[in-house]
Amino acid sequence: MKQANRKYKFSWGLTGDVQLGRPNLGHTARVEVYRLMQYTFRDVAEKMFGAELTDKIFYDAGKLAGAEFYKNIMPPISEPAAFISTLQELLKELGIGILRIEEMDLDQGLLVLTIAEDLDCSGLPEGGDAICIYDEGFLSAVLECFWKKPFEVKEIDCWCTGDRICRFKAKAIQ
Amino acid sequence: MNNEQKIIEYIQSLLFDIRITEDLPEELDQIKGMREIDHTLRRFRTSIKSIGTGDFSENIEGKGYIIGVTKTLQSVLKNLVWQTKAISHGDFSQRVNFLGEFSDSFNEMTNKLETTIFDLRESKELFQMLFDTIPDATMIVSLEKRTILDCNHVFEGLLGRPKADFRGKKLSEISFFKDRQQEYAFFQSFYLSGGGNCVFIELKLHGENEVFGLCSSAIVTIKNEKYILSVIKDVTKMKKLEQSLKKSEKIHRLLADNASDVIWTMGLDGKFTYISPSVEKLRGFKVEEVFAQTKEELLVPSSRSYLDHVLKMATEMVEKNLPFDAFRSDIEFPCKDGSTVWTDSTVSGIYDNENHFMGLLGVSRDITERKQMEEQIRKLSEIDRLTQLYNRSKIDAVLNAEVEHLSNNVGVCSVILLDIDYFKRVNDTWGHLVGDAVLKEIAGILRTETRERDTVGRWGGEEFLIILPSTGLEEAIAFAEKIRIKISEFHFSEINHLTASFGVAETTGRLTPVEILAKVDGALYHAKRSGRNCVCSMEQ
Repeated sequence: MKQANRKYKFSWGLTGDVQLGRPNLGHTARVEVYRLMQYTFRDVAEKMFGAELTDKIFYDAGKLAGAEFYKNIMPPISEPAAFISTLQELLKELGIGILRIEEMDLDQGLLVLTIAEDLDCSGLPEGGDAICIYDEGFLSAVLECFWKKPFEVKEIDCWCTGDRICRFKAKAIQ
Repeated sequence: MNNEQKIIEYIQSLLFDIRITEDLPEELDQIKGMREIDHTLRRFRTSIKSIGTGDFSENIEGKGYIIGVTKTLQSVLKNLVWQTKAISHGDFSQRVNFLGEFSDSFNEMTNKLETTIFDLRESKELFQMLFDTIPDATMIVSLEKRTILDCNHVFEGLLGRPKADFRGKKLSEISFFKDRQQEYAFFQSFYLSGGGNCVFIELKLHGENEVFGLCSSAIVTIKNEKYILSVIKDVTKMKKLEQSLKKSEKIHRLLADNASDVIWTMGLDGKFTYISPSVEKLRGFKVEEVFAQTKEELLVPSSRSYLDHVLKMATEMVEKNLPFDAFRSDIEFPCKDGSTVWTDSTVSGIYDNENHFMGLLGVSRDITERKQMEEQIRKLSEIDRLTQLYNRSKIDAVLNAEVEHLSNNVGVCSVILLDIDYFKRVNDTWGHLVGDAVLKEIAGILRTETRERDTVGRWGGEEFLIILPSTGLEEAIAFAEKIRIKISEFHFSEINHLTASFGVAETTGRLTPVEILAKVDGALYHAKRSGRNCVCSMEQ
């Protein structure tokens, strides 16, 4: 990918001063508006680059978002239990979804997480493939930032695959 | 039956029957969509059955609303399992959200669990802190097994070993008690009392030195088992001091009990607190008899008032925080046989180490012999050897005292001076020995006839003076007359009969002794001039 034509390198400052910019409308917007942007973007990207590359773009974007989220939103935490509960609370508060842990085996570096009412896909019709690629990257980055080792995250269940929750399997990369 | 009916029956079977066919019947398999419906319903049955039995490991495959909701249910339950495990490992931050009433109940339960565990942990830490900081050795021992459950640092120090060495061991295994008897007594006291007690125990511990402990214990219940919680105060020093004091007391008591002098102590209330056994030799009373005596029985009246004075003085000294000066005095005690005994008693105050007054300490020595000698000397100085009546010197002293008394008090006193008539003839005729015998017999009459309060003495040669306190002239005259008759009628052993002349005078205190004597002498002279063998008086 060519790096020359860069207009905006992401930094947290690009999220801007929402209070300043939206004194009346505030912080919230409709989920449909978010999804409108995401899926139109995906549509164009797939047309231009194909599905596989689009997935990688979304995964990497999710990772970038997850890392910035961890750095700027998550408070300093050292205990795994506190990390999980804080992440749950934040995802709920930000409307991203309801995070739950199904399995956690730190010795094996294995986690199975579910996100109900997911921002990206909850309520979407069954489309065949899991679509929460961005979330995969997001979770991968957040877990890596805490445990200081890379995680590979894969969505195994999604609204788009006919399920009613998003289930992610995270495996630490040794 | 047409296909519609068969489909309905088949689907009903899948939904309602426990046992179903193994597979979709061939005839229905031909119908489009039936295979998918059959697959979904069979998967649903299997999944819901697993979930219903608590088995959340089933890999639910398939798509669609029913399978999706079932998978969500399974996911929620798996998450609950994970959260419950996290809570059981102490993570009370877990919360269940968006599950309605279950969320409320679960979260409330978690809060209460956290509070309870926190309270328990705090109580445990507090107990442990208190347990460890108790300044005396403390242990918790099973009542039944007699094994040590726990102890504090001081207990470790007492045994000279870390608690890991004796935790779980019996007290007998670590040679705690001095002997089995001590151990038996310790545990027996709980079986008998069923509760707390305070016992004195002797410990063996290091095996070399004696260690004495005062053990305060209580029964406590831990996990439905009874334990003894004991706090052992090391009283070895105190015990050794007590032993030393007892030994010292024994020696002192031995000394006190065997000294010939009577050693005694007394409180400010006048009651004896100790008397040495030598009191029996001195007074005839045993120690316990003396303790039982009243103040009146303890001392003769004169000594009693003296003792009262001493006690009053001592009380004043103590109240004013002044030192009690030791003093020495002669004190008379009554004896069991009715006699009395004089003692030379030295009395001092007893003070403790902090200079607090504790009582009086007395040492009384029998001075009967000395007193007897003093009496003899007194007698020799006061008594006329021949007649054994008071001599002139004594009579003068008595008269002076009586006059002194009358000068300060309203009263009257009479004096009789008698002289034996023609006594010179007795000596000249029968000799001085007979004369002396007559004088003795006259003295005998006077001694017999006078009252106890009167004083009789030989005034000189054949003259006798009688002092009659509280007696007026008339009475004195009558008395003198009585004696005159007695003498005149008396049959003397050597000379048959004699008479005497009497002079009587009275004073109310206005006269000096010399004036009284002059007066009574005048009266006697008058009696002699009147023919002798009579009583004459001089008005004041």
